[in-house]
Amino acid sequence: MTSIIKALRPLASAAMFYYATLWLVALVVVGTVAQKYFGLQASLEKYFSAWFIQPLDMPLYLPSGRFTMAVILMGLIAKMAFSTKWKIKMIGINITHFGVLVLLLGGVLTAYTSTEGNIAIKEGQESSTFSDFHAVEIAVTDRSPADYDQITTFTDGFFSDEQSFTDAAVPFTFKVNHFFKNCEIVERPSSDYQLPLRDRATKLQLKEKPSDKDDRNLGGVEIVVSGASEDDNGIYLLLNHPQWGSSTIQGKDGKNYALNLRFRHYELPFSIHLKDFEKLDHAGTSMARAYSSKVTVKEGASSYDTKIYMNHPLRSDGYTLYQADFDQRGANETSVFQVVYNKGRYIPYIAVLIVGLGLLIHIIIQIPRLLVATSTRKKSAN
Amino acid sequence: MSIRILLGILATGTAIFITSACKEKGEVHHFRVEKTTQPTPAEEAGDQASQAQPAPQKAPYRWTLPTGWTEKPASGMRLATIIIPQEKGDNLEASITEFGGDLAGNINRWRGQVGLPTLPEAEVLPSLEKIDTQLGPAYIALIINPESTDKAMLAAIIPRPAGTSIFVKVTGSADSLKATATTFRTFTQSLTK
Repeated sequence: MTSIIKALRPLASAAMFYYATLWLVALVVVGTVAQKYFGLQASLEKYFSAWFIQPLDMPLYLPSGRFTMAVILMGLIAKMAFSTKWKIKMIGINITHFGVLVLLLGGVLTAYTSTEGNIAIKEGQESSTFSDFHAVEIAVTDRSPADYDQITTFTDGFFSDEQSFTDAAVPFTFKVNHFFKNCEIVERPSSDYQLPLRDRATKLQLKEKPSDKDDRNLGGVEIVVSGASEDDNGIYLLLNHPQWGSSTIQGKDGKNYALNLRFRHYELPFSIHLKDFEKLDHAGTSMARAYSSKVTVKEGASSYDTKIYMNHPLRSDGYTLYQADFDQRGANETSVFQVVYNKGRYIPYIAVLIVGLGLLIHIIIQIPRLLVATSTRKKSAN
Repeated sequence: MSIRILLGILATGTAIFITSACKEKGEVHHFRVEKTTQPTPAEEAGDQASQAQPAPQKAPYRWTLPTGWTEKPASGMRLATIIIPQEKGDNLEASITEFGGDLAGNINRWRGQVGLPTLPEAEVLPSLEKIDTQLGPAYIALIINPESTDKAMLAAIIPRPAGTSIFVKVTGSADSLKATATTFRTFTQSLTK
Protein backbone atom coordinates (compact mmCIF):
# COMPACT_ATOMS: atom_id res chain seq x y z
CA MET A 1 0.00 0.00 0.00
CA THR A 2 2.83 2.37 0.91
CA SER A 3 4.57 1.78 -2.41
CA ILE A 4 1.31 2.48 -4.29
CA ILE A 5 0.90 5.73 -2.37
CA LYS A 6 4.50 6.66 -3.17
CA ALA A 7 3.93 5.91 -6.85
CA LEU A 8 0.70 7.96 -7.00
CA ARG A 9 1.95 10.91 -4.93
CA PRO A 10 3.66 12.70 -7.89
CA LEU A 11 0.22 12.98 -9.50
CA ALA A 12 -0.65 15.49 -6.78
CA SER A 13 2.05 17.83 -8.07
CA ALA A 14 0.85 21.38 -8.71
CA ALA A 15 3.28 21.61 -11.65
CA MET A 16 1.54 18.73 -13.40
CA PHE A 17 -1.83 20.44 -12.97
CA TYR A 18 -0.36 23.74 -14.20
CA TYR A 19 1.15 22.29 -17.39
CA ALA A 20 -1.89 20.09 -18.09
CA THR A 21 -4.15 23.15 -17.84
CA LEU A 22 -1.84 25.15 -20.08
CA TRP A 23 -1.89 22.34 -22.65
CA LEU A 24 -5.69 22.22 -22.41
CA VAL A 25 -5.86 25.95 -23.22
CA ALA A 26 -3.66 25.32 -26.28
CA LEU A 27 -5.96 22.48 -27.38
CA VAL A 28 -9.02 24.69 -26.99
CA VAL A 29 -7.45 27.39 -29.20
CA VAL A 30 -6.24 24.95 -31.89
CA GLY A 31 -9.46 22.94 -31.78
CA THR A 32 -11.60 26.07 -32.14
CA VAL A 33 -9.63 27.29 -35.16
CA ALA A 34 -9.66 23.78 -36.68
CA GLN A 35 -13.48 23.74 -36.62
CA LYS A 36 -13.49 26.23 -39.47
CA TYR A 37 -11.39 24.00 -41.70
CA PHE A 38 -12.29 20.44 -40.69
CA GLY A 39 -15.83 20.78 -39.34
CA LEU A 40 -17.20 20.79 -35.81
CA GLN A 41 -17.48 17.04 -35.30
CA ALA A 42 -14.04 16.16 -36.70
CA SER A 43 -12.41 18.84 -34.52
CA LEU A 44 -14.31 17.74 -31.42
CA GLU A 45 -13.23 14.15 -31.96
CA LYS A 46 -9.60 14.99 -32.72
CA TYR A 47 -8.81 17.68 -30.16
CA PHE A 48 -11.22 16.98 -27.31
CA SER A 49 -12.68 13.45 -27.37
CA ALA A 50 -9.58 11.52 -28.45
CA TRP A 51 -6.86 10.37 -26.06
CA PHE A 52 -3.99 11.32 -28.36
CA ILE A 53 -3.47 13.41 -31.49
CA GLN A 54 -1.04 12.72 -34.27
CA PRO A 55 -0.10 16.15 -35.72
CA LEU A 56 0.16 16.13 -39.52
CA ASP A 57 0.22 12.30 -39.47
CA MET A 58 3.78 12.39 -38.11
CA PRO A 59 4.95 9.42 -36.01
CA LEU A 60 4.38 11.53 -32.91
CA TYR A 61 1.52 11.26 -30.46
CA LEU A 62 0.58 14.20 -28.26
CA PRO A 63 -2.01 14.18 -25.47
CA SER A 64 -5.48 15.17 -26.67
CA GLY A 65 -8.32 16.59 -24.59
CA ARG A 66 -9.43 13.34 -22.97
CA PHE A 67 -5.95 12.39 -21.80
CA THR A 68 -5.30 15.91 -20.50
CA MET A 69 -8.59 15.96 -18.59
CA ALA A 70 -7.78 12.51 -17.16
CA VAL A 71 -4.41 13.83 -15.93
CA ILE A 72 -6.13 16.80 -14.29
CA LEU A 73 -8.77 14.54 -12.72
CA MET A 74 -6.25 12.04 -11.38
CA GLY A 75 -4.09 14.91 -10.14
CA LEU A 76 -6.99 16.41 -8.22
CA ILE A 77 -7.91 13.06 -6.67
CA ALA A 78 -4.24 12.44 -5.77
CA LYS A 79 -4.01 15.91 -4.23
CA MET A 80 -7.10 15.31 -2.10
CA ALA A 81 -5.75 11.91 -1.07
CA PHE A 82 -2.14 12.79 -0.34
CA SER A 83 -1.64 16.55 0.06
CA THR A 84 -4.86 17.95 1.46
CA LYS A 85 -4.88 19.13 5.06
CA TRP A 86 -8.13 17.95 6.62
CA LYS A 87 -8.49 20.75 9.13
CA ILE A 88 -11.49 22.92 9.98
CA LYS A 89 -9.85 26.10 8.71
CA MET A 90 -9.29 24.37 5.31
CA ILE A 91 -12.84 23.04 5.01
CA GLY A 92 -13.92 25.73 2.51
CA ILE A 93 -10.99 25.02 0.18
CA ASN A 94 -11.53 21.28 0.49
CA ILE A 95 -15.23 21.60 -0.34
CA THR A 96 -14.30 23.75 -3.35
CA HIS A 97 -11.83 21.10 -4.55
CA PHE A 98 -14.49 18.46 -4.03
CA GLY A 99 -16.91 20.53 -6.16
CA VAL A 100 -14.37 20.66 -8.98
CA LEU A 101 -13.87 16.90 -8.61
CA VAL A 102 -17.64 16.37 -8.96
CA LEU A 103 -17.61 18.59 -12.07
CA LEU A 104 -14.82 16.53 -13.65
CA LEU A 105 -16.47 13.22 -12.77
CA GLY A 106 -19.67 14.60 -14.31
CA GLY A 107 -17.65 15.25 -17.46
CA VAL A 108 -16.53 11.61 -17.49
CA LEU A 109 -20.13 10.46 -17.08
CA THR A 110 -21.32 12.75 -19.88
CA ALA A 111 -18.47 11.71 -22.20
CA TYR A 112 -19.38 8.04 -21.92
CA THR A 113 -23.14 8.04 -21.54
CA SER A 114 -24.61 11.00 -23.42
CA THR A 115 -26.37 10.53 -26.74
CA GLU A 116 -27.58 13.09 -29.26
CA GLY A 117 -29.58 12.58 -32.38
CA ASN A 118 -32.75 13.50 -34.15
CA ILE A 119 -36.17 12.17 -34.90
CA ALA A 120 -38.27 13.21 -37.89
CA ILE A 121 -42.00 12.54 -37.79
CA LYS A 122 -44.66 13.28 -40.37
CA GLU A 123 -48.03 14.61 -39.28
CA GLY A 124 -50.24 11.70 -38.30
CA GLN A 125 -47.28 9.36 -37.78
CA GLU A 126 -45.61 8.02 -34.68
CA SER A 127 -42.06 7.06 -33.81
CA SER A 128 -40.17 5.71 -30.82
CA THR A 129 -36.64 5.63 -32.24
CA PHE A 130 -34.13 8.37 -32.94
CA SER A 131 -30.97 8.38 -35.04
CA ASP A 132 -27.52 9.49 -33.93
CA PHE A 133 -26.05 12.53 -35.73
CA HIS A 134 -22.74 10.83 -36.47
CA ALA A 135 -22.42 7.23 -35.25
CA VAL A 136 -23.39 4.53 -37.75
CA GLU A 137 -24.35 0.89 -37.52
CA ILE A 138 -24.90 -2.08 -39.81
CA ALA A 139 -28.55 -3.15 -39.81
CA VAL A 140 -29.55 -6.68 -40.82
CA THR A 141 -33.28 -6.91 -41.50
CA ASP A 142 -35.14 -10.21 -41.48
CA ARG A 143 -38.50 -9.69 -43.19
CA SER A 144 -39.64 -13.29 -42.86
CA PRO A 145 -41.87 -12.87 -39.73
CA ALA A 146 -45.47 -12.34 -40.79
CA ASP A 147 -46.30 -9.42 -38.50
CA TYR A 148 -43.07 -7.49 -38.06
CA ASP A 149 -39.51 -7.02 -39.33
CA GLN A 150 -36.72 -8.18 -37.06
CA ILE A 151 -33.65 -5.91 -37.21
CA THR A 152 -30.26 -6.79 -35.71
CA THR A 153 -27.75 -3.94 -35.53
CA PHE A 154 -23.98 -3.90 -35.08
CA THR A 155 -22.57 -0.59 -33.84
CA ASP A 156 -19.41 1.07 -35.16
CA GLY A 157 -17.39 -0.25 -32.21
CA PHE A 158 -16.99 -3.35 -34.42
CA PHE A 159 -15.68 -1.37 -37.40
CA SER A 160 -11.94 -1.93 -37.01
CA ASP A 161 -10.10 -3.32 -40.01
CA GLU A 162 -10.05 -7.13 -40.10
CA GLN A 163 -12.48 -7.41 -37.14
CA SER A 164 -15.01 -10.26 -37.42
CA PHE A 165 -18.39 -10.28 -35.71
CA THR A 166 -21.77 -11.97 -35.82
CA ASP A 167 -24.84 -12.65 -33.65
CA ALA A 168 -27.13 -15.60 -32.99
CA ALA A 169 -29.92 -13.82 -34.92
CA VAL A 170 -27.76 -13.50 -38.06
CA PRO A 171 -26.72 -16.73 -39.83
CA PHE A 172 -23.51 -15.38 -41.33
CA THR A 173 -20.35 -13.57 -40.22
CA PHE A 174 -18.98 -10.15 -41.11
CA LYS A 175 -15.38 -9.09 -41.40
CA VAL A 176 -14.60 -5.41 -41.94
CA ASN A 177 -12.13 -4.68 -44.74
CA HIS A 178 -12.25 -0.96 -44.12
CA PHE A 179 -14.55 1.59 -42.54
CA PHE A 180 -14.71 5.09 -44.03
CA LYS A 181 -15.98 7.97 -41.89
CA ASN A 182 -16.31 9.99 -45.09
CA CYS A 183 -15.88 8.63 -48.57
CA GLU A 184 -16.74 8.91 -52.24
CA ILE A 185 -17.66 6.22 -54.71
CA VAL A 186 -15.23 5.49 -57.50
CA GLU A 187 -15.08 2.77 -60.12
CA ARG A 188 -13.22 -0.36 -59.08
CA PRO A 189 -10.04 -1.19 -61.01
CA SER A 190 -10.26 -4.30 -63.17
CA SER A 191 -7.31 -5.75 -61.24
CA ASP A 192 -9.81 -6.37 -58.40
CA TYR A 193 -12.12 -8.46 -60.56
CA GLN A 194 -10.59 -11.75 -59.35
CA LEU A 195 -11.86 -10.95 -55.82
CA PRO A 196 -15.24 -12.38 -54.69
CA LEU A 197 -17.05 -9.08 -55.33
CA ARG A 198 -20.82 -8.98 -54.82
CA ASP A 199 -23.62 -6.55 -55.62
CA ARG A 200 -22.37 -2.99 -56.23
CA ALA A 201 -18.85 -3.89 -55.10
CA THR A 202 -18.40 -5.61 -58.48
CA LYS A 203 -18.04 -2.26 -60.23
CA LEU A 204 -17.51 0.26 -57.46
CA GLN A 205 -15.26 0.86 -54.51
CA LEU A 206 -15.06 3.46 -51.77
CA LYS A 207 -12.31 6.03 -51.47
CA GLU A 208 -11.44 7.83 -48.22
CA LYS A 209 -12.17 11.56 -48.08
CA PRO A 210 -11.23 14.08 -45.40
CA SER A 211 -14.04 15.05 -43.05
CA ASP A 212 -16.50 17.49 -44.57
CA LYS A 213 -16.18 20.93 -43.01
CA ASP A 214 -19.98 21.17 -42.82
CA ASP A 215 -20.13 17.73 -41.16
CA ARG A 216 -21.95 16.26 -44.17
CA ASN A 217 -19.96 13.06 -44.14
CA LEU A 218 -20.86 10.02 -46.19
CA GLY A 219 -19.96 6.96 -44.13
CA GLY A 220 -19.21 3.68 -45.85
CA VAL A 221 -17.84 0.25 -45.13
CA GLU A 222 -16.36 -2.51 -47.28
CA ILE A 223 -17.29 -5.75 -45.62
CA VAL A 224 -16.73 -9.46 -46.23
CA VAL A 225 -19.66 -11.81 -45.63
CA SER A 226 -18.96 -15.48 -44.94
CA GLY A 227 -21.12 -18.38 -43.84
CA ALA A 228 -24.08 -17.31 -46.02
CA SER A 229 -25.30 -19.24 -49.07
CA GLU A 230 -22.42 -19.99 -51.45
CA ASP A 231 -23.37 -17.36 -54.06
CA ASP A 232 -23.77 -14.63 -51.47
CA ASN A 233 -20.45 -14.97 -49.65
CA GLY A 234 -18.06 -12.22 -50.68
CA ILE A 235 -17.25 -8.52 -50.51
CA TYR A 236 -20.04 -5.93 -50.21
CA LEU A 237 -20.14 -2.16 -50.09
CA LEU A 238 -22.47 -0.48 -47.63
CA LEU A 239 -23.06 3.25 -47.76
CA ASN A 240 -24.95 5.46 -45.32
CA HIS A 241 -27.11 7.06 -48.01
CA PRO A 242 -30.88 6.58 -48.40
CA GLN A 243 -30.62 6.06 -52.16
CA TRP A 244 -27.96 3.36 -51.82
CA GLY A 245 -30.59 0.89 -50.61
CA SER A 246 -29.68 -2.48 -49.21
CA SER A 247 -27.86 -5.64 -50.26
CA THR A 248 -29.83 -8.86 -49.91
CA ILE A 249 -28.05 -11.93 -48.59
CA GLN A 250 -29.50 -15.41 -48.32
CA GLY A 251 -28.50 -17.19 -45.14
CA LYS A 252 -28.00 -20.92 -44.90
CA ASP A 253 -31.39 -21.02 -43.15
CA GLY A 254 -32.94 -20.10 -46.51
CA LYS A 255 -34.14 -16.66 -45.37
CA ASN A 256 -33.24 -13.40 -47.09
CA TYR A 257 -31.61 -10.67 -45.02
CA ALA A 258 -31.37 -7.01 -46.09
CA LEU A 259 -28.07 -5.44 -45.17
CA ASN A 260 -27.34 -1.76 -44.91
CA LEU A 261 -25.42 0.97 -43.16
CA ARG A 262 -27.41 3.68 -41.39
CA PHE A 263 -27.12 6.21 -38.59
CA ARG A 264 -27.21 4.43 -35.25
CA HIS A 265 -30.75 4.05 -33.89
CA TYR A 266 -31.80 4.29 -30.27
CA GLU A 267 -35.10 3.22 -28.74
CA LEU A 268 -36.97 5.81 -26.68
CA PRO A 269 -38.86 4.52 -23.63
CA PHE A 270 -41.93 6.28 -25.06
CA SER A 271 -43.35 7.06 -28.49
CA ILE A 272 -44.21 10.41 -30.05
CA HIS A 273 -47.26 10.91 -32.24
CA LEU A 274 -47.19 14.16 -34.26
CA LYS A 275 -50.71 15.56 -34.31
CA ASP A 276 -49.99 18.89 -35.97
CA PHE A 277 -47.06 21.04 -37.01
CA GLU A 278 -47.57 24.79 -37.15
CA LYS A 279 -45.31 27.44 -38.66
CA LEU A 280 -45.88 31.17 -38.35
CA ASP A 281 -44.08 33.45 -40.81
CA HIS A 282 -42.92 37.03 -40.54
CA ALA A 283 -45.54 39.20 -42.27
CA GLY A 284 -45.17 39.19 -46.04
CA THR A 285 -42.31 36.68 -46.05
CA SER A 286 -41.82 32.93 -45.89
CA MET A 287 -39.29 33.33 -43.08
CA ALA A 288 -40.29 31.38 -39.97
CA ARG A 289 -41.18 33.55 -36.99
CA ALA A 290 -42.05 30.58 -34.83
CA TYR A 291 -42.80 26.93 -35.30
CA SER A 292 -44.25 24.35 -32.96
CA SER A 293 -45.43 20.75 -32.84
CA LYS A 294 -48.49 19.39 -31.08
CA VAL A 295 -47.65 15.85 -30.02
CA THR A 296 -49.04 12.98 -28.01
CA VAL A 297 -46.53 11.21 -25.80
CA LYS A 298 -47.43 7.56 -25.26
CA GLU A 299 -45.77 5.46 -22.61
CA GLY A 300 -47.30 2.09 -21.85
CA ALA A 301 -51.02 2.50 -21.24
CA SER A 302 -50.76 6.22 -20.43
CA SER A 303 -50.54 9.13 -22.83
CA TYR A 304 -50.68 12.92 -22.71
CA ASP A 305 -50.75 15.83 -25.16
CA THR A 306 -48.11 18.55 -25.16
CA LYS A 307 -46.65 21.21 -27.42
CA ILE A 308 -42.96 21.41 -28.30
CA TYR A 309 -41.60 24.76 -29.42
CA MET A 310 -38.61 27.06 -29.07
CA ASN A 311 -37.31 27.12 -25.47
CA HIS A 312 -40.06 24.68 -24.50
CA PRO A 313 -38.66 21.19 -25.05
CA LEU A 314 -40.30 17.96 -24.01
CA ARG A 315 -38.53 16.33 -21.05
CA SER A 316 -39.35 12.73 -20.28
CA ASP A 317 -37.44 9.76 -18.78
CA GLY A 318 -34.13 11.63 -18.93
CA TYR A 319 -34.60 12.52 -22.61
CA THR A 320 -35.03 16.07 -23.86
CA LEU A 321 -36.66 16.72 -27.24
CA TYR A 322 -36.14 20.15 -28.80
CA GLN A 323 -38.01 21.53 -31.81
CA ALA A 324 -35.14 21.63 -34.30
CA ASP A 325 -36.36 21.73 -37.90
CA PHE A 326 -39.27 21.11 -40.22
CA ASP A 327 -40.07 20.16 -43.80
CA GLN A 328 -43.20 21.39 -45.52
CA ARG A 329 -42.69 19.55 -48.79
CA GLY A 330 -45.31 16.95 -49.57
CA ALA A 331 -48.89 16.58 -48.43
CA ASN A 332 -48.01 16.10 -44.76
CA GLU A 333 -45.60 18.37 -42.94
CA THR A 334 -42.63 16.84 -41.15
CA SER A 335 -41.33 18.02 -37.81
CA VAL A 336 -37.76 17.29 -36.73
CA PHE A 337 -36.78 17.10 -33.06
CA GLN A 338 -33.30 17.04 -31.61
CA VAL A 339 -33.05 14.38 -28.91
CA VAL A 340 -30.52 14.65 -26.08
CA TYR A 341 -29.91 12.05 -23.40
CA ASN A 342 -27.29 12.83 -20.76
CA LYS A 343 -27.07 11.02 -17.43
CA GLY A 344 -24.77 13.69 -16.08
CA ARG A 345 -26.92 16.68 -17.03
CA TYR A 346 -27.55 17.83 -13.44
CA ILE A 347 -23.98 17.32 -12.24
CA PRO A 348 -22.60 20.71 -13.42
CA TYR A 349 -25.33 22.50 -11.42
CA ILE A 350 -24.59 20.41 -8.33
CA ALA A 351 -20.82 20.95 -8.77
CA VAL A 352 -21.21 24.72 -9.11
CA LEU A 353 -23.34 24.80 -5.93
CA ILE A 354 -20.66 22.82 -4.05
CA VAL A 355 -17.89 25.11 -5.35
CA GLY A 356 -19.95 28.18 -4.39
CA LEU A 357 -20.63 26.77 -0.94
CA GLY A 358 -16.92 25.97 -0.47
CA LEU A 359 -15.86 29.49 -1.44
CA LEU A 360 -18.50 31.01 0.82
CA ILE A 361 -17.40 28.90 3.80
CA HIS A 362 -13.76 29.76 3.10
CA ILE A 363 -14.55 33.50 3.04
CA ILE A 364 -16.59 33.23 6.27
CA ILE A 365 -13.76 31.33 7.99
CA GLN A 366 -11.23 33.87 6.79
CA ILE A 367 -13.20 36.95 7.88
CA PRO A 368 -12.10 36.81 11.61
CA ARG A 369 -8.48 36.31 10.53
CA LEU A 370 -8.74 39.21 8.09
CA LEU A 371 -10.28 41.41 10.78
CA VAL A 372 -7.53 40.49 13.24
CA ALA A 373 -4.84 41.07 10.62
CA THR A 374 -6.33 44.48 9.74
CA SER A 375 -6.54 45.48 13.37
CA THR A 376 -2.94 44.33 13.99
CA ARG A 377 -1.75 46.38 11.00
CA LYS A 378 -3.59 49.44 12.29
CA LYS A 379 -2.06 48.99 15.76
CA SER A 380 1.41 48.58 14.24
CA ALA A 381 0.88 51.72 12.16
CA ASN A 382 -0.09 53.67 15.27
CA MET B 1 -11.92 3.80 7.16
CA SER B 2 -9.86 6.94 6.69
CA ILE B 3 -10.72 9.58 4.13
CA ARG B 4 -7.40 8.90 2.36
CA ILE B 5 -8.36 5.25 1.78
CA LEU B 6 -11.79 6.35 0.50
CA LEU B 7 -10.15 8.77 -1.95
CA GLY B 8 -7.68 6.06 -2.96
CA ILE B 9 -10.62 3.76 -3.80
CA LEU B 10 -12.26 6.60 -5.76
CA ALA B 11 -9.01 7.21 -7.71
CA THR B 12 -8.63 3.51 -8.50
CA GLY B 13 -12.28 3.22 -9.56
CA THR B 14 -11.96 6.27 -11.81
CA ALA B 15 -8.77 4.91 -13.39
CA ILE B 16 -10.44 1.53 -14.07
CA PHE B 17 -13.52 3.25 -15.52
CA ILE B 18 -11.47 5.51 -17.77
CA THR B 19 -9.22 2.66 -18.94
CA SER B 20 -12.07 0.28 -19.61
CA ALA B 21 -13.85 2.94 -21.63
CA CYS B 22 -10.72 3.74 -23.67
CA LYS B 23 -11.99 1.89 -26.72
CA GLU B 24 -15.64 1.89 -27.60
CA LYS B 25 -16.81 -1.70 -27.78
CA GLY B 26 -19.16 -2.95 -30.44
CA GLU B 27 -22.74 -3.53 -29.34
CA VAL B 28 -25.46 -5.70 -30.83
CA HIS B 29 -29.08 -4.58 -30.56
CA HIS B 30 -32.33 -6.12 -31.67
CA PHE B 31 -35.32 -4.12 -32.86
CA ARG B 32 -38.75 -5.33 -33.83
CA VAL B 33 -40.40 -2.80 -36.17
CA GLU B 34 -43.68 -2.51 -37.96
CA LYS B 35 -43.75 -4.49 -41.16
CA THR B 36 -43.37 -2.63 -44.40
CA THR B 37 -45.17 -3.89 -47.48
CA GLN B 38 -43.63 -2.02 -50.41
CA PRO B 39 -40.19 -0.97 -49.22
CA THR B 40 -38.67 2.19 -50.58
CA PRO B 41 -34.88 2.43 -50.37
CA ALA B 42 -35.19 4.23 -47.04
CA GLU B 43 -37.65 1.66 -45.76
CA GLU B 44 -35.42 -1.12 -47.04
CA ALA B 45 -32.80 0.31 -44.77
CA GLY B 46 -35.14 -0.56 -41.92
CA ASP B 47 -34.86 3.07 -41.07
CA GLN B 48 -37.95 4.10 -39.20
CA ALA B 49 -36.76 7.66 -38.73
CA SER B 50 -35.82 7.95 -42.38
CA GLN B 51 -39.31 6.85 -43.35
CA ALA B 52 -40.59 9.96 -41.76
CA GLN B 53 -37.92 12.13 -43.32
CA PRO B 54 -38.46 13.98 -46.57
CA ALA B 55 -38.23 11.88 -49.72
CA PRO B 56 -34.74 11.79 -51.25
CA GLN B 57 -34.14 14.69 -53.59
CA LYS B 58 -34.29 14.11 -57.29
CA ALA B 59 -31.16 14.25 -59.44
CA PRO B 60 -29.45 17.60 -58.94
CA TYR B 61 -29.18 18.07 -62.73
CA ARG B 62 -31.68 18.47 -65.54
CA TRP B 63 -31.39 17.53 -69.20
CA THR B 64 -33.38 17.61 -72.41
CA LEU B 65 -34.10 14.27 -74.04
CA PRO B 66 -33.63 14.07 -77.81
CA THR B 67 -36.66 12.89 -79.79
CA GLY B 68 -37.41 9.22 -79.16
CA TRP B 69 -35.15 8.90 -76.14
CA THR B 70 -36.90 7.92 -72.91
CA GLU B 71 -35.89 8.05 -69.29
CA LYS B 72 -36.13 5.66 -66.36
CA PRO B 73 -36.11 7.09 -62.84
CA ALA B 74 -33.07 7.16 -60.56
CA SER B 75 -32.10 3.82 -59.06
CA GLY B 76 -29.19 2.85 -56.88
CA MET B 77 -26.43 5.32 -57.55
CA ARG B 78 -27.70 6.16 -61.05
CA LEU B 79 -29.15 9.61 -61.39
CA ALA B 80 -31.09 8.27 -64.35
CA THR B 81 -31.10 5.61 -67.05
CA ILE B 82 -31.74 6.81 -70.60
CA ILE B 83 -33.10 4.45 -73.23
CA ILE B 84 -31.84 5.19 -76.76
CA PRO B 85 -33.97 3.44 -79.40
CA GLN B 86 -32.22 1.68 -82.26
CA GLU B 87 -33.63 0.86 -85.68
CA LYS B 88 -31.83 -2.46 -85.66
CA GLY B 89 -31.15 -4.63 -82.65
CA ASP B 90 -31.58 -3.92 -78.97
CA ASN B 91 -32.01 -0.41 -77.60
CA LEU B 92 -28.97 1.24 -76.08
CA GLU B 93 -28.95 2.22 -72.43
CA ALA B 94 -27.10 5.27 -71.12
CA SER B 95 -26.40 5.70 -67.43
CA ILE B 96 -25.96 9.07 -65.74
CA THR B 97 -23.94 8.93 -62.54
CA GLU B 98 -21.80 11.22 -60.45
CA PHE B 99 -18.65 9.80 -58.86
CA GLY B 100 -15.16 10.81 -57.88
CA GLY B 101 -12.02 9.59 -59.64
CA ASP B 102 -9.56 11.18 -62.04
CA LEU B 103 -10.09 11.56 -65.79
CA ALA B 104 -7.12 9.48 -66.97
CA GLY B 105 -7.90 6.69 -64.51
CA ASN B 106 -11.49 6.38 -65.75
CA ILE B 107 -10.59 6.51 -69.44
CA ASN B 108 -7.92 3.83 -69.02
CA ARG B 109 -10.30 1.65 -66.99
CA TRP B 110 -12.84 1.84 -69.81
CA ARG B 111 -10.17 1.14 -72.41
CA GLY B 112 -9.25 -1.96 -70.40
CA GLN B 113 -12.90 -3.07 -70.43
CA VAL B 114 -12.97 -3.11 -74.25
CA GLY B 115 -9.54 -4.74 -74.48
CA LEU B 116 -7.45 -1.68 -75.37
CA PRO B 117 -4.06 -0.96 -73.78
CA THR B 118 -3.63 1.80 -71.20
CA LEU B 119 -2.68 5.23 -72.55
CA PRO B 120 0.08 7.29 -70.90
CA GLU B 121 -1.58 10.01 -68.81
CA ALA B 122 -0.27 12.78 -71.09
CA GLU B 123 -2.00 11.18 -74.09
CA VAL B 124 -5.41 10.75 -72.49
CA LEU B 125 -6.65 14.33 -72.81
CA PRO B 126 -5.65 14.75 -76.50
CA SER B 127 -7.56 11.52 -77.26
CA LEU B 128 -10.83 13.10 -76.08
CA GLU B 129 -13.19 15.52 -77.77
CA LYS B 130 -13.76 18.62 -75.68
CA ILE B 131 -17.16 20.29 -75.87
CA ASP B 132 -18.81 23.09 -73.92
CA THR B 133 -21.88 22.37 -71.85
CA GLN B 134 -24.03 24.44 -69.50
CA LEU B 135 -22.08 22.85 -66.62
CA GLY B 136 -18.68 23.72 -68.08
CA PRO B 137 -16.33 21.79 -70.36
CA ALA B 138 -17.04 18.12 -71.01
CA TYR B 139 -14.89 15.40 -72.55
CA ILE B 140 -16.36 12.89 -74.97
CA ALA B 141 -14.69 9.52 -75.43
CA LEU B 142 -15.62 7.05 -78.15
CA ILE B 143 -13.66 3.95 -77.20
CA ILE B 144 -13.59 1.28 -79.89
CA ASN B 145 -11.36 -1.74 -80.11
CA PRO B 146 -10.87 -2.36 -83.88
CA GLU B 147 -10.40 -6.05 -83.17
CA SER B 148 -13.66 -6.36 -81.25
CA THR B 149 -16.19 -3.82 -82.52
CA ASP B 150 -19.22 -5.44 -80.94
CA LYS B 151 -18.36 -4.01 -77.51
CA ALA B 152 -17.53 -0.32 -77.59
CA MET B 153 -18.17 2.58 -75.27
CA LEU B 154 -19.34 6.16 -75.70
CA ALA B 155 -18.92 8.32 -72.64
CA ALA B 156 -19.02 11.94 -71.56
CA ILE B 157 -17.25 13.22 -68.47
CA ILE B 158 -18.20 16.58 -67.00
CA PRO B 159 -15.88 17.57 -64.13
CA ARG B 160 -17.66 19.35 -61.27
CA PRO B 161 -16.20 21.96 -58.89
CA ALA B 162 -16.58 19.70 -55.82
CA GLY B 163 -14.08 17.22 -57.30
CA THR B 164 -16.63 14.72 -58.60
CA SER B 165 -17.57 14.22 -62.27
CA ILE B 166 -20.84 13.51 -64.04
CA PHE B 167 -20.53 10.41 -66.23
CA VAL B 168 -22.88 9.71 -69.12
CA LYS B 169 -21.98 6.29 -70.46
CA VAL B 170 -23.37 4.04 -73.19
CA THR B 171 -22.05 0.65 -74.26
CA GLY B 172 -22.91 -1.09 -77.50
CA SER B 173 -21.53 -2.00 -80.89
CA ALA B 174 -19.13 0.44 -82.54
CA ASP B 175 -21.58 1.07 -85.40
CA SER B 176 -24.53 1.87 -83.15
CA LEU B 177 -22.44 4.22 -81.00
CA LYS B 178 -21.03 6.02 -84.04
CA ALA B 179 -24.59 6.53 -85.28
CA THR B 180 -25.66 7.86 -81.88
CA ALA B 181 -22.60 10.06 -81.23
CA THR B 182 -24.01 13.34 -82.61
CA THR B 183 -27.27 13.10 -80.67
CA PHE B 184 -25.33 11.98 -77.60
CA ARG B 185 -23.20 15.13 -77.85
CA THR B 186 -26.32 17.31 -78.06
CA PHE B 187 -27.80 15.51 -75.07
CA THR B 188 -24.60 16.03 -73.04
CA GLN B 189 -24.68 19.74 -73.87
CA SER B 190 -28.23 19.96 -72.51
CA LEU B 191 -27.22 18.95 -68.98
CA THR B 192 -27.72 21.79 -66.55
CA LYS B 193 -28.39 22.37 -62.87
